[in-house]
Amino acid sequence: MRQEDIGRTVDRMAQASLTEEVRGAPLGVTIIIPNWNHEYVLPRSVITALRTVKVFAEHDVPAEVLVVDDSSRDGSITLLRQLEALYYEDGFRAIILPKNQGPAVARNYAITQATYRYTLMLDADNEVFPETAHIFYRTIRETEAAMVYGPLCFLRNGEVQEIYGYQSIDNRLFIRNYIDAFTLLDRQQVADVHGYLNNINVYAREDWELILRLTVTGRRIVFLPVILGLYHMLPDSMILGADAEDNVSNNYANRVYNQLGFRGDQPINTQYLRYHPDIGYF
Amino acid sequence: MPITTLFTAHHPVEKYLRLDHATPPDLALRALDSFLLRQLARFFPVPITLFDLAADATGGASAMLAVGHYDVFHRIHIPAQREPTPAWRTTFPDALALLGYNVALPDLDTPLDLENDLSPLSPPMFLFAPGDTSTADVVAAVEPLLVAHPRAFVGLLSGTRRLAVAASFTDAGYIVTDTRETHALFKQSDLTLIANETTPGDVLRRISYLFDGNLNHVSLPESINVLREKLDEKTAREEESQ
Repeated sequence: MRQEDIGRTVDRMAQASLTEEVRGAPLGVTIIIPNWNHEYVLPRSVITALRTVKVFAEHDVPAEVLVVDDSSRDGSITLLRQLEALYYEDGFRAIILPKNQGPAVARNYAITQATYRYTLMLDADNEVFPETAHIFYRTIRETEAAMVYGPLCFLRNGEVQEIYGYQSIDNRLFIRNYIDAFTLLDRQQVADVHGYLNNINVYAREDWELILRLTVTGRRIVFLPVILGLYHMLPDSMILGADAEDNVSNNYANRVYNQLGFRGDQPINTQYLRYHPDIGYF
Repeated sequence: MPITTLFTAHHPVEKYLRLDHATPPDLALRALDSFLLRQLARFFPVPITLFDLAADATGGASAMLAVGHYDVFHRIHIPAQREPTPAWRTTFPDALALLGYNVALPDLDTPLDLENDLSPLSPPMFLFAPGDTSTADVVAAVEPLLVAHPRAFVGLLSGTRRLAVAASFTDAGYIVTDTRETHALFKQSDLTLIANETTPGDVLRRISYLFDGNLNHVSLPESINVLREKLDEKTAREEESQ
C-alpha cells in the first residue's frame, strides 16, 4: 500500500468502520505494538515480542511483530528503521502513521495491516511472556472467542504491585473496567464490531469500550488464568492521566451501554467464561 | 508527509507473493532492497524511468514493487526478456486487479526498446539480476545501458556476484556503490549501484542517514540499565511528593 493510501485509509478509519477493511487471513498471530514517543522502553517490548514469535514458530504457528508508530517526535522512528533492518527476516515490521491520531486509530490501522488472523495487543512499555502466549493462542482457537485475556503482573520500580485482572467477565464490567488492552484478539471478529472507538469521550479507555462492544454484541470473551506478561507502571503514563477522565468515560459507557440500567439483569454470552486448554471450561 | 518503512515498501510484494508461488523465483527480492529501491526513486532529484530487467528473475516481485509504488517513478517499463514467456507475466494483470491496483499496466510483451522508451528528461534506472551469467556477459549486457543515457544507472541485484561485477565496472571508470558498505544495517542488501555520475550514491547515503540514531545496539542493554535507575529515582520522587 502506498503512503498516500495509508493516509487515506487512516483518515477513513478515523471516521468509519473496520469491517470492510479486514479480509479473512491465515492462522497465526500478529503482535501489534502501538508506539508514541516510547523510544526508551520500546526495545524491551519488541525483544519479548520477537522471542514470542520464535516460541510460536516452535509450535508451528506463524507470527510477526507489527509496531505502528503514531507519529512519534522522539527517536522512535529511527529506532524502528534500525529494528526493521535488523529483524525483518525474523518477523519485525513497522508502520509510521503520517499524523498523530491517537491509540484507537493506530490500533485499528494495525488490525487492517496485520498478516495473521489473531492479534496480540502489546503496549510499547509492557512485556509479553513468550512461553505463555502460545497457551492464549490455543485458547482462542479452541473457544472461538473474540478475545482471550489473562491476569497481568503490574510492576512499579521493578517491584510487583499487584496481579491485575484476575477475574472472568460479569456484569460489573459495565460499571468499571478490570481488563487491560493487553489481550489476544480475533481481528476478524473485532473488525466486524468496528474495532476500537476513536472518540475523545473514551480517551485511554478505548480498550474498555471495545470489551463492552464485544460483550453487548454477544461475542465471547474468555478468561485464561495464566499471566500473559508484565505491565510497567511508568511515570506520566497515559493510563494514570486517564484516571482523571474516568468520569467522562463512565458517563459515556453508561449512556451507550447501560442507559436503562438493564445490563445487570440481562444474561450475556460471555458471562463467567473461564477456560484452560489443558482443562476445558471450568 | 510520506513516511516509508521496510514493511510499507515491501507490502505490495508480500501480498503479491502470497497469491501464487508455484515456482520459486531465481532471486528473492529482500524487504530491505524494496525499501532502498523505492526510496532511491522517491529521493532522486528528478523522477526516474525504471526499466525492470530483473522482473523474470524475481518472479514478478520487482515488477510488483514498481507498480505498487508507481507514483514515485516517471515511467515503468517491464520489457519481455525470456522465451517462452514466464508464467507470472500472464497472471500479473490479474494479480494487480486482485490486489486493487488500478494503474495503467506497463507493457509486458514488448522487448527492451531503448530508442523509443528513453526520455531525455528522466534519468533511467535499469534494474538487473545477473543470476549465473558470467562477469564478462554481465558487463556486455549492462554497459550499453549506461552508454545509452548520460544519467543512466544500473541497480544490480545479486548476493553472490556483486564483488566481481562491481570490480569490473570500477576498473572501467564507473561509479560503483555497494549498498552493503553504506551502512552497517544494510549488510543483507543485494543491491549494487553502477552509475555514470555520483547522484545515485548520494541519494543512497541520504537514505542511510535515516538509520542513524543515538541508540547503539551494542550499548543498548547498558543504556537501558541507566534508564531504569533514573526511572526508579523519578518514580520514587513522585511517590514522596504524593
